[in-house]
Amino acid sequence: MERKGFVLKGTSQSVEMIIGQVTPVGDILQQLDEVLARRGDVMGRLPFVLETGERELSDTELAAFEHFFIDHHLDYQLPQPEPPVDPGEVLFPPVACDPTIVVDHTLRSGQSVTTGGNVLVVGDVNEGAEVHAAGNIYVLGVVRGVVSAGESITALGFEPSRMTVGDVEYEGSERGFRDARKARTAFVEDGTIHIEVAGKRR
Amino acid sequence: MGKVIVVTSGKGGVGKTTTTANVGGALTKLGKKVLLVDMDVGLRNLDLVMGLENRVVYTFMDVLEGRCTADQAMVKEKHAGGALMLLAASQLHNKQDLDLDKVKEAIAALAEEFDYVFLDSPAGIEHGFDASSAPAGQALVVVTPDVTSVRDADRVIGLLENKGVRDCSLIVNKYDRTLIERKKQLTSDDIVDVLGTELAGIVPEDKAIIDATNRGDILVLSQSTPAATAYLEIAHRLEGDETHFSALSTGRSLLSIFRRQK
Repeated sequence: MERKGFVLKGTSQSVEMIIGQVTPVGDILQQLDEVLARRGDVMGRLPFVLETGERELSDTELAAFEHFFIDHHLDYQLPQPEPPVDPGEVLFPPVACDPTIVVDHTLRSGQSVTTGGNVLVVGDVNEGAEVHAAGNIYVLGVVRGVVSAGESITALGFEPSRMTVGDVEYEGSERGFRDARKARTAFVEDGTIHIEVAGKRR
Repeated sequence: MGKVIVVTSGKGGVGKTTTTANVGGALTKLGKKVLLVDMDVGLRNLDLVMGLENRVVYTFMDVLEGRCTADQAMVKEKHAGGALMLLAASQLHNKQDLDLDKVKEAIAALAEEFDYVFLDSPAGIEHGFDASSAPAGQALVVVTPDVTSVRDADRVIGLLENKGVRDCSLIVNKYDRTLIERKKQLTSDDIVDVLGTELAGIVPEDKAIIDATNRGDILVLSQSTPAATAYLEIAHRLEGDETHFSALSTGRSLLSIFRRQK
């Protein structure tokens, strides 16, 4: 436990008040009140600058200080949030890179995955399940549920209840179609969704 | 330590209770000692299906709350010579009254005395389902060949997997060959394709089940109809024996010819 809740350093322009790291704010203010009662004549004329060091004060704690200073008719300066660091010259824009999520089972009715990256499902996406990805979706099975991807959707079969790639909605279904040997990819070209054998695109 | 198996479906009316009674009955024919626990608190039925409604004095809830011992609450089925026992559900409580920890503890203790303990789950995925699946190491998911039942089964299998019950197998119930040949119902292949879960049995639509259930007789213990045969096949499969699916093998399809030759 700190013996004193704060240290006061007087300069010609202000009184720097460095508070301890652990003493509760209520105790600090009580101690300050006692100090001011004894020496308020000297210090009361100069503004108080609050220094918190490593300690982070909550909004309520800061408000408590503010109220205290106002009640005692003192000028004050609360710690300011640090200004953002100048990043200097940016050579490469930061890449928001979400990892690929791997789901190692069939997604069943009521289960869902949403990500800013990619999703790999080792199994089917059943009716009633949902997958939403900003990037690509790869399904080692049949898509029967609701899927949306920003880039593309690759699967062994497309029987979705709803499928969106980019902002284009797919309106077909290949119910009964089975060609488990070839994965195919749904992608957008000229504003419509094409489904072609995967890997043949580029 | 016996196997603890939850019989569930999500959807109501697919035949969980009848399946529980008959699969349990079929196992006693293979010389196993079986306990059936009705988990449908407030809406009990298993006692009726087994024809034991007048014999129930204490319920599973009485056991859980310490008003009697399990031995006092268990009721003996008439035809199985003491190998088939029932623990009835309370009609006076709600499903919320089931304390999961107490249920687990009680079922674990009972599993020491039996080869099989079946938990007949209520419909739905709420507390009654939680309480029925919590003690189980294995699940039988009952589906009928309808899209509604298959979707609910899919949801339930997902929930069971989340709870760590990974050994799920399917019983396709009320399988009607004439409707399937007319493409009015899903085939068992369609169902397995969607659910990706192993098949434990296919029980054909059989009027004898309705009749036996209304009389309070367990079909498999009193008659040998196609459905009774299917229940015996399920019992064999639970015991690890390979058997064919007789419900499929009476037709003319190429697949069924191969299955028959097994």
